[in-house]
Amino acid sequence: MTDVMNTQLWTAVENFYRRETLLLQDRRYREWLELMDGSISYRVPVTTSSLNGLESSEDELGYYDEDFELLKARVAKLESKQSWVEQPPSRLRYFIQVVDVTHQDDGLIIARSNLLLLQYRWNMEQQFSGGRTDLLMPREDGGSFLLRNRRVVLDRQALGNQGLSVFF
Amino acid sequence: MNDSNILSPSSDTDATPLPPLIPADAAMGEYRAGDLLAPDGSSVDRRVFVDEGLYRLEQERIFAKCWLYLGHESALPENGSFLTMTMGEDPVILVRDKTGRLRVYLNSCTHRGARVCRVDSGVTTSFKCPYHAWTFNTEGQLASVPRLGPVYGDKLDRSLHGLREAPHVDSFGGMIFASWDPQAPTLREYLGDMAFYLDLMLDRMEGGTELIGGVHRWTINVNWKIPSENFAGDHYHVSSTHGAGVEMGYRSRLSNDGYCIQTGNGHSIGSERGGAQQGTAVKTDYDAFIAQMRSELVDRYGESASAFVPIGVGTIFPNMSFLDSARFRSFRVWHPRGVDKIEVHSWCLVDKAMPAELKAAVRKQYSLAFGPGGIFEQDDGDVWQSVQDNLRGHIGRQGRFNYQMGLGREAPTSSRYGPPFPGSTSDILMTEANQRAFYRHYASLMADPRCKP
Repeated sequence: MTDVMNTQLWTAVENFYRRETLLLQDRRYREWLELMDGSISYRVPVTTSSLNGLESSEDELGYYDEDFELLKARVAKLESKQSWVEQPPSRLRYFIQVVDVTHQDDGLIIARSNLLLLQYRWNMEQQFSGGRTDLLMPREDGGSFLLRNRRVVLDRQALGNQGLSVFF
Repeated sequence: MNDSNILSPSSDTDATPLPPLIPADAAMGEYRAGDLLAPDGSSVDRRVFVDEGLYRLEQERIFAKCWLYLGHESALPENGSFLTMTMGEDPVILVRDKTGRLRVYLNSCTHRGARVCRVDSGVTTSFKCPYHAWTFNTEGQLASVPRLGPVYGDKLDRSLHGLREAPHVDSFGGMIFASWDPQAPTLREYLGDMAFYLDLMLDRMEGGTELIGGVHRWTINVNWKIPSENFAGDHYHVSSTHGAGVEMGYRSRLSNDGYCIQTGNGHSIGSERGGAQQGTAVKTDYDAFIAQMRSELVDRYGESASAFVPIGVGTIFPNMSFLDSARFRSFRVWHPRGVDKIEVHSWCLVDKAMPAELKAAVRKQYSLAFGPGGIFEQDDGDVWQSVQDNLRGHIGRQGRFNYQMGLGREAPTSSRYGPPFPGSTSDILMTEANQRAFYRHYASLMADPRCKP
């Protein structure tokens, strides 16, 4: 791939994340779901501290362990007026830094990014950092991407506070 | 453990094994028991959830005495397998020693106290303290001391410096418990009639149960008793706290048809008929499994047994809770981390004989509903933290919480469901009978037999 094509790809990927960031920050989760392919796997695995460092596994528990239907169920829950954990809603600030973009032979894109998320809720505040690895699928109409797969490994091992109510 | 000369006899019928009434004049730390709890457990002073002195007393009289859950046998497959956990606030190592025996040690070097094992789990032959490199084997013995001869001469007796070991370790249905109390009853005696119900949860299919790998860990700024009593019997909160889960169809509207059973020793369990989490959204094939298990239980014990699959939500006193719902099985420990904080460790349990795809589907259902970001869990945690926040002030810690719901409706479980179902139950689901039993047992452990002058 030429440097010019590479730069275009990075720009397209960054544009995708800019759009996603706005949707997540505003908690416009219905629209966020439109960024996803119907066969998405969205996983934030738990990590285990071992003698070899932090480890995670695909068939173990996840903080998020979702397919498209389960993500929709989560969004439906958060939209309820009785979803107390977000009453009143959190203020969210996402910082996404793309660190690697690779074009696969099958046309899909692997994008790795750093995530920093600050959350301020009525009764607590917390921050999350982690590494995201996404599989992006170019849309057939040529514009932007659909998210096919996301795996986020958080740096913290135990969640520092009650009521995880944000997406990564 | 109770001194029957001091504690008043229960006013309830002999057939209902309720913990003893709380003797008003017994000392509870700096307090008179009667100043903190109603004799029948129907009210509890707010200070019980926020007082530092009572919290220290709980560490001694509850967490250093009771049998506490540590891990599942499937997580310790070979000799040398270990995991780290806490018992109350005490860090411990659970290890399968060279002979295959399960042992529990305080995770603290006998020389200067540093943590000898810093990871969650693994396989090892020894634990080496990073501070001065004293090294202990899986039998807890002090196996090596650097420069032993040159620095200690013959003054150090290594046999006196093994890791501090819990005197009792035992398991039930694959679940490993330990107690620090040399005088503790056996685990089977401690579980009492709750063992019957645990068996219905743990021994449902040929081959038994196993854990899904990994553990969910998170903290909540709340006293440990608030979630323990919630899982013991608070069905009343479901309609309001979990209104969103009802609205989006993950669970049906709560009915009052069900049982709240307490089996003595502070243990209890409860379920609406058909189990929690009955709903139409995001279904799996687990329904068919539950139906099969239910019909097998009915074949064994008759039609009334259909109410006991799934078995429901409950608490093994003091701080282990479980949820066997219509969609998944999970259990958790509410580890105290100070009077106003807990660290939750939560697991998902499946039958070994289930197909792999169903195990994966059940794992996802558990995470969706009761992982740290679960659509039910997230609202519980948020509300519980607000309870604790409200107890900090001078005024906020005054007064009592009310536990009068369903008073006087308890009867032997067998009188409603027939044998062999033990314990006492109420004729409605929404009662605080189990919470009252929890606090009566709590008080029986916390109260000093010597009366407060």
